[in-house]
Amino acid sequence: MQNAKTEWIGDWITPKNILVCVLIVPVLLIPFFYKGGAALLPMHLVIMVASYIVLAQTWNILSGLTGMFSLGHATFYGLGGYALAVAMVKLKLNPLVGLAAGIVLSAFFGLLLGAISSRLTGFFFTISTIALAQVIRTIAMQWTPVTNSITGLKIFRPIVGRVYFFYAAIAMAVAVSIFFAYLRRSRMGSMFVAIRENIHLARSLGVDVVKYKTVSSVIAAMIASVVGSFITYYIQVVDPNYLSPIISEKIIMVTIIGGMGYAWGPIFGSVLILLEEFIRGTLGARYAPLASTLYGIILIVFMLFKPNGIVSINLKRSFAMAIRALTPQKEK
Amino acid sequence: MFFEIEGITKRYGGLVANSNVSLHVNRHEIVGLIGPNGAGKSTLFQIIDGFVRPDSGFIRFKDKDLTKLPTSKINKAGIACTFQHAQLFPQLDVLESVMIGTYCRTMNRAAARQEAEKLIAFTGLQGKEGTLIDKLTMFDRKRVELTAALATQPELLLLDELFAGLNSTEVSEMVDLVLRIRRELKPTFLIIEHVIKVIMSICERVYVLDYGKIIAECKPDELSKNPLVVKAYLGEEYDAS
Repeated sequence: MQNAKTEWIGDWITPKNILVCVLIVPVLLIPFFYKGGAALLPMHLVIMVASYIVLAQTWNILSGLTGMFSLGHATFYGLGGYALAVAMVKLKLNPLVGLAAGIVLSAFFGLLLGAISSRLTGFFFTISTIALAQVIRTIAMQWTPVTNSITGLKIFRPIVGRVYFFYAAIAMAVAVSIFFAYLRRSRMGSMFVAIRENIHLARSLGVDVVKYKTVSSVIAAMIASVVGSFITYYIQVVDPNYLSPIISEKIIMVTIIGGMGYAWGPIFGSVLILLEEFIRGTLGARYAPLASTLYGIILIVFMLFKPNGIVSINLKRSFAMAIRALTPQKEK
Repeated sequence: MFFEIEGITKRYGGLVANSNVSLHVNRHEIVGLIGPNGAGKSTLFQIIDGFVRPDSGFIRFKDKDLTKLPTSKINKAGIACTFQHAQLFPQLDVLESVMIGTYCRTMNRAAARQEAEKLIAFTGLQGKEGTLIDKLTMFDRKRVELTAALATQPELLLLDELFAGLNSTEVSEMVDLVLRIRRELKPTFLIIEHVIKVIMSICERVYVLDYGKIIAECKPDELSKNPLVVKAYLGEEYDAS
């Protein structure tokens, strides 16, 4: 885990981090590399990856920092999406009103989750997150006059260039990742981690466990809701798939494979989302679910050999080992 | 009265862990709580610290009733504790572990860190600020636990078998540390301990608990003269010298 001895900004300026930042620059230039429609697919992929980075960072706050292992995080993503769509389609309101409504609604359910966590911990809390997600999903599927059931709601919006969504998604991913890193170094972050590490000791040192668990789930819920609204506005449709357990599973997998509890974790892990798009592009949409199988295999491999995720891979040591393995050894 | 427990009773089904326990601690005193295993000492500490609710009785600290307060509020009222089995944050380093305590007294990160570093130096852990708890020896773990408790600026410190599992050199060092804490930070102590040497050397008064009841209250050097204490805890072969 991170060392509190060094200040967070200083801690971030490391050769590894600078290297990653440099590698991100070509991504930012994608709209300039491709001409015309050729840039649309790469931009779409980056938007999806950036969205998953944000979603995974929010799950990282809830589960990675605070130790509240949720299996229903798609709830907040879906609530954001539905709030925006209902506001625009059914109530003919400004999308910003829908965005705000989604944030408020998610904050409410975040509060509810915080209240649940004051009574239930560990496995029992996790089960309750599945139950909550299932309830919300069932409402979305059955409340036809408002949600249009499984068909979902289609949004009509003014034409906005994909490049705006592209940069907005990247800005969101960068902002939320920096927020996570800052949070981890802050007083509140320390309180979250104390709860995760030893809830009894945290209590005896004066940490108001219920308060901080609630704050953690409200923050995570509100930001995840913004992503839901953003993606709904971008794709122009929302349906019960937004609330699907598959979304929650993907969020969890990318965070765990990347590195749970670390700011870089979701950033590295979310690149895996491309795998699904790659399979869809090369083998056809029919084979896209194959990605889930591959995610599962990758997850198991990481759990076995690198349980702390990609962030725990020591690049320098791995490189030295590779060089040693490739260098012919002199016989004695 | 600085700290007072009155008529505390706690039952687990048919088992009576504490039966009508009453005791008091004066400001700046070091009071020991001894008794055989299963006497109800740790249960009493858990009740004081708010982890377990008593069936009846009261806990008063500086004339404030703490009986129904949650653990975090009890800490804020000025009571901190260490646990029978050292409780720590396994994946945090020493500095951040102590800062969790200081954060409960200040919102400011720089101030919390400065205070934590000062306390770490005070308890002799300097140079280990960046070490993960998992990598520490038992002695250092106990010191970190104590330092984190001190970081909350307690007026009353409950130490539950702080000296257990330490070798004789470490016990002496820990005794020195406790006495130094008392001298310089001036908290009051209530100590559960099995190491009689420690009880004799630092406690001013001792309560003896047996089968959940207080069977004696005396000065440490009077323990061996009390037939009830000898029978219940010290044993007939105990030699005070």
